[in-house]
Amino acid sequence: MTTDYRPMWQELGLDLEAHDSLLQGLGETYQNIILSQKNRPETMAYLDFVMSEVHGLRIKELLDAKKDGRKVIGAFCVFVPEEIVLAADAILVGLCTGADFAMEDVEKILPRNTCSLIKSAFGFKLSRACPFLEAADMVVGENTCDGKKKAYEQLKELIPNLYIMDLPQQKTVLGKQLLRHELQSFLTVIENLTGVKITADRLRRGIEISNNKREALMRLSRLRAVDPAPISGLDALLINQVAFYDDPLRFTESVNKICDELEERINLKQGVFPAGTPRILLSGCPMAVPNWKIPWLIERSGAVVVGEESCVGERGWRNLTSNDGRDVDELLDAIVERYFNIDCAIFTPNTDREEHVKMMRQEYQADGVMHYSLQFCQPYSIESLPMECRLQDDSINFLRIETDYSMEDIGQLQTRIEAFIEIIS
Amino acid sequence: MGITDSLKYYWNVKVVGQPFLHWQRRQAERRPKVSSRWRSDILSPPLRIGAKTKELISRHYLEGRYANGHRPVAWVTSGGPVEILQALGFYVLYPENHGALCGVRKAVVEIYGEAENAGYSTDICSYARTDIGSMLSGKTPVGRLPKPDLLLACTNICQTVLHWYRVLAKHFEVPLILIDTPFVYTKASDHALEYVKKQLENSIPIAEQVAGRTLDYRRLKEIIHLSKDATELWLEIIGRGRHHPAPMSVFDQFIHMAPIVEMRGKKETVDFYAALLKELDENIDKGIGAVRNERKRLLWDNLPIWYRLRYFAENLGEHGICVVASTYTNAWAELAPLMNLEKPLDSMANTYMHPILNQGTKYKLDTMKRMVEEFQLDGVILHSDRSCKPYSIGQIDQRNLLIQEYGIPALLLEADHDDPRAYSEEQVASRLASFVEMLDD
Repeated sequence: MTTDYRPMWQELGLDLEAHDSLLQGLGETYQNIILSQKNRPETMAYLDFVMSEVHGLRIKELLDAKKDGRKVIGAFCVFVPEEIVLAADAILVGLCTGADFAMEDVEKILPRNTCSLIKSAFGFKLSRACPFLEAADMVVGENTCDGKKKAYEQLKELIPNLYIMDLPQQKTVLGKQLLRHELQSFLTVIENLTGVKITADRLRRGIEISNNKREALMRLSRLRAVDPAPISGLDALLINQVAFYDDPLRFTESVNKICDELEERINLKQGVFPAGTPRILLSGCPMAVPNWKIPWLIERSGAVVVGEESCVGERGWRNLTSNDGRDVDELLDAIVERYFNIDCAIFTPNTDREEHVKMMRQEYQADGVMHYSLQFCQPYSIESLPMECRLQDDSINFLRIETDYSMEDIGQLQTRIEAFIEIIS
Repeated sequence: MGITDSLKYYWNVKVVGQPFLHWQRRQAERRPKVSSRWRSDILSPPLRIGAKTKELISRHYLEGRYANGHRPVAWVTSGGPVEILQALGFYVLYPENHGALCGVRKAVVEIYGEAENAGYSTDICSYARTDIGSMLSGKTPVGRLPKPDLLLACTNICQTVLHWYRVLAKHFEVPLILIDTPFVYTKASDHALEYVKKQLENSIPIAEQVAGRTLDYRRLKEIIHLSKDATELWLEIIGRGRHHPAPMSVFDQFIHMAPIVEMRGKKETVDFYAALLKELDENIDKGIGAVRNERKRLLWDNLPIWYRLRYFAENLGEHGICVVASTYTNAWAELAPLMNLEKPLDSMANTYMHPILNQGTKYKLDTMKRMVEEFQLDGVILHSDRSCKPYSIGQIDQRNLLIQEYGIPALLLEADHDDPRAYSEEQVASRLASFVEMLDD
């Protein structure tokens, strides 16, 4: 960052000492893990710039927008409908949940056996180190799992503007009706917050912007099917992560530019790794910035990640929202339909997810599937074993990994990952 | 249903098993024996009803052992709306209760080891691991569990059941009814209540098809009536803890609550609790307390530590401390007023939306505070249960608030309800000792 943003952070109420230590850690990790990669596409420079200014220029943009009367909505999860937020001329941003921060303070509030993602959200709030969180006019918590359901009550004491949205746990007609009620309530809440009446035209525009972003990300996904892989898994993950922070129009344009470059690379048979490098599909829990641990271990062990079946990946982007509705009601139905089809492990049954993993494995020519669960995440942890059985029935190599945000287990993980790569090679 | 299986059922259950269990109970009642290990110096003799409790639980598992082929079998979560299944003639098994029983009998390590060997994470709830281990290996201290024809999971106790029952459904290849109960932070919304009610309605044809008979709504009302009667009696029973000395500790309640969890909707359960209440009233008249020299009285929050019930009763009893009430045993009592016989499905939807685990942490804190006042308690032990997130998240705050805002001494103990590996007796003993000292100050 070239500009001194400290006055802005101070005004936001950040704890500057904690924030400095966060930025220092993030900068070093970014240098060591992301920037040290070889053969990166040149257009990734945009992402590097975004990341270098993620707490600087991007926050300034948000604050400027707020001055213009726009509202900022913070979210933890892909179930928060961006279409509705955009329709009210508000801005949706992902919140910091990808690193252990202020864990000692967090464990004074939450049991130790709470997953890293939830603890991280608390850590960033308690230490006042996430400018997105402090800039948000409203934070949306969604009832995906038991941990979040209960933890949101605690978090609400720290974040009074937390709005909690319920989610069904089953894919039935009734489940969809419940989601319809919840999204209708969310739309009303957003209208009240922003003072903007959401019309069909506004909603269509929100859908269009969101769909364009998803299509760009899916374009990127499809380009990774080629051998040699034109982009590393780490860079692809980074793009997926930045999708939660950046301005959607600018981001979409940039991803399409990256895709243009990747197409050129493909034509020239240029890869980020040599042809024939073992290819791995990652499946499981979301990985928020700066959680790059597993793809980093995979790619430094001689394989390449060719897809992410995750909320920060295809699970989050692959479904589009139909723009055909004639009025707000019909468009909201389409939004419900789109979000109801997300195959998150909170649903029972959730066979779509298995099928999606198989499909991705085939389309991206992965030699094996690695399932990543955060420790204490029961939905993904329990779902991993049946998935292993199903995939092994189809003779697909499968490795289950359970870890957290700490780096204490990297030696052990690296050994397991190397052994797996040896098998799939 | 087969004739051979029915004959086997009648012979083993009705002709041989039940009369034997009845005789065994009568013997125990006539010549009550107190184990030589029982700390009679600090604890009053066990309640006489214990023989009946043992008979009821043994009979329940005996019926289950021979149920397959004779009557339909359903496996249900502890907070599941069981009345519909009872009315359709299902034999109902509660894997969580079976898990608790495995814990009390100290059989869990071997059984959940089977699940862990199959690849299930050690971080998954120990009830789920125990049940899945039992499913995979057939191991159980009760001889044999019947295979389910139907599964019913209700998310009002936790979300783990959703994944756990999915594993069961796949293994047994039977239908799974899922009742999804949206979380109630402050007040249940109308659309959430309607959502649960419609799920209940939709579950009926599935259960009818498995049972091979049509639901008789008159029978359903009778069963809800029996459920309500038993629940009201249980409410009265735990309310007897208000007396000084308390006639029953929560460690007794944990054992005697088995019928209210797994035998709701039965006449014998109502009779059982009426008899228990009578015995407690007799003891109150005689001034008999569960702890001989009751000096201090505590509240227990969260599930029991099933494999160390006796240890806690004795350790605290030695200091004249009786744990007289619990939010956990109260959870099976406090919903009685919500049961309405005139509108069975609306009433069931409302009731099953409101267990303590499906409500906000503020509700639990208020419940604790109310119980501390009503039962005139000196402190609270909060068991931070590694396996149970819905019960444990929020406890650190609740402990702090109890201490700071209400001046109620409170102790947080980390353990697990069914996994002894997550329990350190040395640590517990030392923390209990400090807490007891503090209570005496």
